[in-house]
Amino acid sequence: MTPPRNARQTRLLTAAALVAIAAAILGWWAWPRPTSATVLHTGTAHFVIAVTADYPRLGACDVEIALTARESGGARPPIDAVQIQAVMPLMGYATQPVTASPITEGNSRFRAGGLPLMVTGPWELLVAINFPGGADYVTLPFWVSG
Amino acid sequence: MITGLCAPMRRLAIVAGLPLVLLLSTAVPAMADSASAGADVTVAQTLGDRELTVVLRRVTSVPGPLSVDIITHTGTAPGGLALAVTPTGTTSAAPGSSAPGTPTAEATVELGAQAGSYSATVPVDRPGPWELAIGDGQRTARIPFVVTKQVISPPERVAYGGLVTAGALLLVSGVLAARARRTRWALVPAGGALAALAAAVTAALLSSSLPLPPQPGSHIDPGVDNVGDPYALKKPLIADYSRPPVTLTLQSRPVVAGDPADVDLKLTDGSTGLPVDDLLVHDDALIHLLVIGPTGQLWHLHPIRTAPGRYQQHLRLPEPGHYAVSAEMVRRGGGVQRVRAATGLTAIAASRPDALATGAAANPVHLGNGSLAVTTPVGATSVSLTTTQPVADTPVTVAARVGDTGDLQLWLGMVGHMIVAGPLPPTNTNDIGTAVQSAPVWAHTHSMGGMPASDHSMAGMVMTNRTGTMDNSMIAMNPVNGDSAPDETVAGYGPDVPFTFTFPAAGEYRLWVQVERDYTLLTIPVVIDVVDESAVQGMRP
Repeated sequence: MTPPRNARQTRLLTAAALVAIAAAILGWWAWPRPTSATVLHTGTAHFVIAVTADYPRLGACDVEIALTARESGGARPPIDAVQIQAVMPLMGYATQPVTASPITEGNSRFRAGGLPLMVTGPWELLVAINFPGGADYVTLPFWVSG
Repeated sequence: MITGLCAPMRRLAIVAGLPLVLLLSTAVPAMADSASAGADVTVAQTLGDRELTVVLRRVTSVPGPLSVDIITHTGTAPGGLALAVTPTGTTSAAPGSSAPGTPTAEATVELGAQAGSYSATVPVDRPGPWELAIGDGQRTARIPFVVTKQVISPPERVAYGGLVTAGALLLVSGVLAARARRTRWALVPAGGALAALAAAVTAALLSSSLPLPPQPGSHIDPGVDNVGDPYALKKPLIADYSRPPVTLTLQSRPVVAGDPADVDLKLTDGSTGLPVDDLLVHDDALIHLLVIGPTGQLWHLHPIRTAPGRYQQHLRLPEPGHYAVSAEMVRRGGGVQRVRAATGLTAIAASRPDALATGAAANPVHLGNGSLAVTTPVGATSVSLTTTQPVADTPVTVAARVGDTGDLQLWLGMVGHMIVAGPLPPTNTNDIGTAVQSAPVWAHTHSMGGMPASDHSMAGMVMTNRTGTMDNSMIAMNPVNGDSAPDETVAGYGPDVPFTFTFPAAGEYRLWVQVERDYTLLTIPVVIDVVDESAVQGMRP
């Protein structure tokens, strides 16, 4: 009879649609996503620090450093220079320090380009903040993927 | 078979069987293991003239209290110590006003004149790496430590989730069996329940044998994120976490014999030259500094960390001459390394001869050359030393019996320590520091106490009165259930303290046996003559 066949077809179509939707959701969930920027928050006695590594994968990496002075409640920090160095401690390898350039007039955001991340695995970013009368040093661990 | 029953009976059987299945499913033991949730951390620190043992008790909840016990020793000066804790870990989430880098809590500890334990509590508000600052007004020791968090492992999640799912599906199955027109529909959720139960049981059984993830702190640099979830693994995975060796440089003003001096230890990476700030607590200290003086004295000290890669040792060298120096440490990633300071230390003569400490020279006992046992007083304690025939390339057991009762305390987690240096050339006994500086062998061996041959007592249990020589004494075996070992306040070890060491070459060696009794460190200097196997064969009839 025609009606039962239609009902069976409807059920089959529904089941197929459900399976297709489930497969699509699973594929979307499991699909590899591009590495997003890594943001690391830390601080020293003088500054609250946020370091953003644009593309923490093999190759050259640009890094942005945002500084907020603790004492002045977020006002312009009196900073002479910010240097950053990448270190791969397991390999006994350190890059040349790169002096970060200020990218805002408030002298609170700096950018260092082209840190050479030569291997995957655990790296450390050494940030040196020089200011009148002293310097703060901070080490930020981060992982470089392939 | 259920299918062979009539419909009402089938429904009854399914509904009646539900509680039984649920009971069985909840009776599966949850054997899943979490990553280590931390244990007590003990750190010896030589802060000024005080030799302190700092015990950071396990933090059981975060936020929560951190209990700090400071154990003093005989002769430790009373006075106040200022404590402060500072979070140092990076985080991917904006921390707002509580950014790391500044102290979040402070406390004071008033040390009394009596040797013992003095406590304070400070709150910690996040997992991850922290720094405990202990200041005596002149110096500040900065001890790094990691506050861990109780974490549910993925197998645990599967086990618990599977059990809950199985229970829920069984309920659905029961409802369907009782209410649905066709009871066969109850088999669908019942099948799901079986699958969930199988997954839960498999996860629970496998969890105890699955490897732990790399541990933040001991394997990889700790941060708030990876301490909060050590199972969120970064890719690609790595298996070798070892790091380059350490270069040790000593820096100080000219050291004058008899005067107090601060010696700075600069630790740099053997590959990059950058400061080394990843030392782990090993044998209850960040650094074990061994100093051997001109007349054979030994100092076993524990420098304070003053800044990343910078340590400081306060000492008073009693006489002019050369002092050999070495340091033992572990970097993150593992592997104990002993680093000799290439220069050692040289103390110049004091302009005031009265400033020299008196009675500083070691007065060693001699073993070997036919003498296999000797007794000597050390302070008010009688110490008997015995040795097996000291032959090179053969395990030699040197045993000390300290006093007559088992009342020794664990020092640095061990019943006893024995420092070995040699073979030393025939030398002026007033220039042993120079000889030890270039000695082929430096060694540091431990004793975990004596164990009767057939008595396998567990850690912390009082040993049976079997031999008459081990009355009421304990052995320093670490608990196997993850608990922390007894601390220094437990006086129940010894009196037999055996060490076994294989001397790699014949010659005259200096040994120093160290034990703690009544909160006093006893150091027993020994000279032992080690002979070649051929010499022993020549002596045999």
